Amino acid sequence: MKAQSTMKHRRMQHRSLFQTALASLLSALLLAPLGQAQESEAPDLSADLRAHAGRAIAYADIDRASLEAVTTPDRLMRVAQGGFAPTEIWRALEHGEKVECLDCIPVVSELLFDDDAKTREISAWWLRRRIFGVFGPGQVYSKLVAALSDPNVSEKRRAYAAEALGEFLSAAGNRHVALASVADPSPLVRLGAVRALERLNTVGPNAELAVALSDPDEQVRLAALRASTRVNVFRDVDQVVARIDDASSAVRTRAIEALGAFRALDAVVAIIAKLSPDNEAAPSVRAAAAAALGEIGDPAARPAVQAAYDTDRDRFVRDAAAIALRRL
Amino acid sequence: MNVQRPRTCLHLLPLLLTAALPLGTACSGSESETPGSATGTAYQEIVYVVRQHTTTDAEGNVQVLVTEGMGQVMDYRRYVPGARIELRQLRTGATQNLLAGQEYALADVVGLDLSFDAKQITFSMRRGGDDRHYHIYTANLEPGEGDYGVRQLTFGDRDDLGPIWVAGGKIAFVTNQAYTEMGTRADEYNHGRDVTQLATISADGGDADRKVCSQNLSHTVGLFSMQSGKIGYSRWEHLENVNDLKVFAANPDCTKMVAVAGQHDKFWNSLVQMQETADQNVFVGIATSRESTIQAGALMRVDVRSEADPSVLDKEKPKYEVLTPGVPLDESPSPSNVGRYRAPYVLPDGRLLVSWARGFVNDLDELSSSPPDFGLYVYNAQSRTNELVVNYEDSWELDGRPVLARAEPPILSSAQTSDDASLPATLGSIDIKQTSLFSLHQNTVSGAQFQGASMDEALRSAVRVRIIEGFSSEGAPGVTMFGLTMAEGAALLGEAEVREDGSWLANIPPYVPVHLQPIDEFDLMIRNQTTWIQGMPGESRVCGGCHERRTETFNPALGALPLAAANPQSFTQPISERTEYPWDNATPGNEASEIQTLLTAKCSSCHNETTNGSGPQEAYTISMTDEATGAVTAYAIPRLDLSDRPITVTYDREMETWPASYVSLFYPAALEMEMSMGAELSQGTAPPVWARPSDARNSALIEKLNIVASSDETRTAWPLGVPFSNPSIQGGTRSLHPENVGVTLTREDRVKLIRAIDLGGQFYSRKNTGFEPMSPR
Repeated sequence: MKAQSTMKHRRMQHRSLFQTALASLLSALLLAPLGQAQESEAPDLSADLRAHAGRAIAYADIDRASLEAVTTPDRLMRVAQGGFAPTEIWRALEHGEKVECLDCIPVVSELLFDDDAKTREISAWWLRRRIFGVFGPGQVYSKLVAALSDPNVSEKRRAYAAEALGEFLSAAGNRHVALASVADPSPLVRLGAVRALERLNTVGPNAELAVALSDPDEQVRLAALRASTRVNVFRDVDQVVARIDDASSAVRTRAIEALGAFRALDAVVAIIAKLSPDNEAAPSVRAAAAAALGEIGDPAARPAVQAAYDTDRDRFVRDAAAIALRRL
Repeated sequence: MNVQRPRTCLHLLPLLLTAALPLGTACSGSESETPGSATGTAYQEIVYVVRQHTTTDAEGNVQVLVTEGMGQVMDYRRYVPGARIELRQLRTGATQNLLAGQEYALADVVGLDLSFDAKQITFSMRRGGDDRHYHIYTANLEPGEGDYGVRQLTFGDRDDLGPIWVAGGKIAFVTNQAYTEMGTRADEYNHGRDVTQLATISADGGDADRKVCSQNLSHTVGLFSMQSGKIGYSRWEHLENVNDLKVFAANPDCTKMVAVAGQHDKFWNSLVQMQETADQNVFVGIATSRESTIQAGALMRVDVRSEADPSVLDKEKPKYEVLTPGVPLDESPSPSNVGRYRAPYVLPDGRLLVSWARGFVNDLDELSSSPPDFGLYVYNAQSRTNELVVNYEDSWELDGRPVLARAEPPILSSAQTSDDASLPATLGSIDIKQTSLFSLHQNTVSGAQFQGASMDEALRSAVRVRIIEGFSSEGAPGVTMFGLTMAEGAALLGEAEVREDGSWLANIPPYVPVHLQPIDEFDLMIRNQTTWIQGMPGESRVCGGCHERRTETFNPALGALPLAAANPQSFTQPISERTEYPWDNATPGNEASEIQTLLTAKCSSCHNETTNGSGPQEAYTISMTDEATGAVTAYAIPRLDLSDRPITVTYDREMETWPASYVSLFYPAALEMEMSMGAELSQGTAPPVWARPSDARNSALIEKLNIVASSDETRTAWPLGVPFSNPSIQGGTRSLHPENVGVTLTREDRVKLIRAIDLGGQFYSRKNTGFEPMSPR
């Protein structure tokens, strides 16, 4: 209990100091030119200023521990230059969301090609929030577009450029990643481009996402199937139905799961065919078929699902059939 | 040993395990007296999950995954194959793997809970191979017909995680299922990762009885069973500047969500992995940073019992007790032998079955590719000692449960049975003036007519309640962000009238996360609710006041029923008809709500590239230096240019440019943050904070414009003829501007600007992007 009361006391003391100081500092901010505002006699006040500067006054009433702790520009710069664990880089960038550190931009942009996927992702997340220094001619975004379409750039860097364009969430990237998703010779790049289409919430200007569903590479097809259930405006359900007979059991499974999510009534007959071990060797596909038929809810599927429940040798297919029967 | 405490042999296991003594001798003398039998709390077995962190591929390459998929306490996508669920005889140390067999060779398991009768477990598993999702399973603890009867209950293109048993044969869990016209929600800080929401199934019917609760903008995690029958959980609370995890609870039918703990007086960031103790409304959980601690932290006891009635929650007067004082509450490295804790479970004698690892247990482990070694221990908070139960060197042992029947909470009747999204949810207050925000939390209001007014006093001026829908970037494709703000996307569902007795009532779309702002007669926000709230179809969520004392009863101020009860206002319009304020580039049909249209018509003739009011336009300069090349790029920002001229140059015509008006108005607030950390302008003087996101009352632009009361045109929010609060606002004293220079700005125009700022100051909305609702699924 001592620890509790001591901490509470410290917090209250801190809060009291903060409330008094904030009032004077806010008036100082209003009365003095910015740049002098952080000059304060209170030794531990800078943290509170950082916590509240630029924010609604109402947030001064919130426990500081509940608020975003803002990364300093200096910290951002140091962390982005390397030598830190990925989680520390992520943290510094996330907490620097509204830190307009222009000098950090060239350094952070190098992280778009880091080996750690989440580091790349969060770097793009931070960069896309910048008003200045990123989207101008010759700046970060245009370099990514150029890298994506340059055959002299390594496939890894092209793939990372595609991912970054997706993470930038700018519709200007749609046509670039859409083209790469179907035209780049590297499956790694096409995979990155399909993921970017998902992030951009687009099927591409010429419905490239549907084309990617029949990509020669299994991972690209899987990524396209995932995107098909997440892009708001995807409507090429027929292309998903076509994947029911894919050579890859993983793709067949995901295609049937997607059709269940779409409540694709027109696909019921094709899915029923996948319930039988005579037609489908992979238990994962048969289980997905039973579950999808339950999700779609067409009573016409009931006899086939009942047969799967009664006879399938795989326990998870029978589990899926049992639950589907309750829905049919 | 305290003889009053139910005895187990757990305390001897460290010696037994390390010395490899005959385990049967450890409890000699206890054969005829089963530990705990006198109190009905005997258990001889524990069940737990073993998860992997290191894999070796076919070529012999070793991969160590320390924080993968668990960098934050709410992350869930950490797949490493090789998980087991072990049932361990405490007396002998013998273990059975419930997931034995080739079909589970690539499995990973997240979360485990024991049924109330201690005969079954439920867990979330991804089996690997073609199975790429986590789904909910059950298994028996007694083998039959050769195995443990593992049964899959959920299926499909989604992840279902962290299940717990709920009274009445139900299982609750969280899911990232995409199911709304907005698509799957994606918190801005979790980027492309789908938000997890609360859901339930029955243990018999699985997906056939699937029910998904209303949404939050950020993740729900760490479910736990409460004695009241409610489902407790931690929720990532991310609303503009607020960013932490707090504890909430809801009925199993998804209704009656209440705050439980962490909303007040918390001196650390996140409260997760909670369990209720034998004392109702007293909890134990993990207190830690949101990130960088491998989902581990200090053990925290949280007592939110009301002083008047311990069965009533009082989240406003929490008593926090750190049970492990040496463990950091933030992300800093823990002292070597102190380590960090995960997943506590309260044993019948009050001790805690925990997972614990020594060492830093933070990002330094990641940097050195040395995973912390979580094992199962019994933690005694009195002696502050860990007693080893089981720890394998190369894996993590988590989610330990004693195999012991426990009381089943009462079944809470399912008042909510419809998933019809056309049935509205109802929000309201009996008397909005009732609040504890000043009496308990010293909240005050400043700006315009208030100068440090208590919240009680300020709320007496409330005339309407703004109901604001929140959405993240999935609702506005093609956005780089929502603008120079930390706020999420926002739409105004409506403003409900506050009646004479302080009551208000409104019907809103169900499932949708909203927050509230009581506003005064000047349309200025009095308070910004910093918690998302939601309602299920047909659910009524009427509070006593505005953050009133939850332990007190509130009656209507006038009459037997609140005045608003007779006539709830309806704000159930579809997305396309909700009020949003796109700053610029509104899509066809939405021009009337565009802010730039207003500024161009009424303001930019005086505030433009060359002139600012009666004088020339001024600018301040910020610059960027590329350390590698030494190149310097400078950007001049006008002091107050309200035109739509592009202030940024983009390389591509398809990319949006930022209009001078938006940058002029909102950049000073962003710069204030930077300046507070010691950065300097390269040239010029920063202007006043023209527009402070979510705070029109303290935005210099609104003070400069001023506004009259909705019911009395002679009263202004800021008294006329008085100097501006910031002397650098030009004009010297307050007036109604631009009327003082011969231009008329209607009250509606002013309200539009106030709302655009109070809603968060977003540039983007669904009405200047390519948003389309999710295709019918």
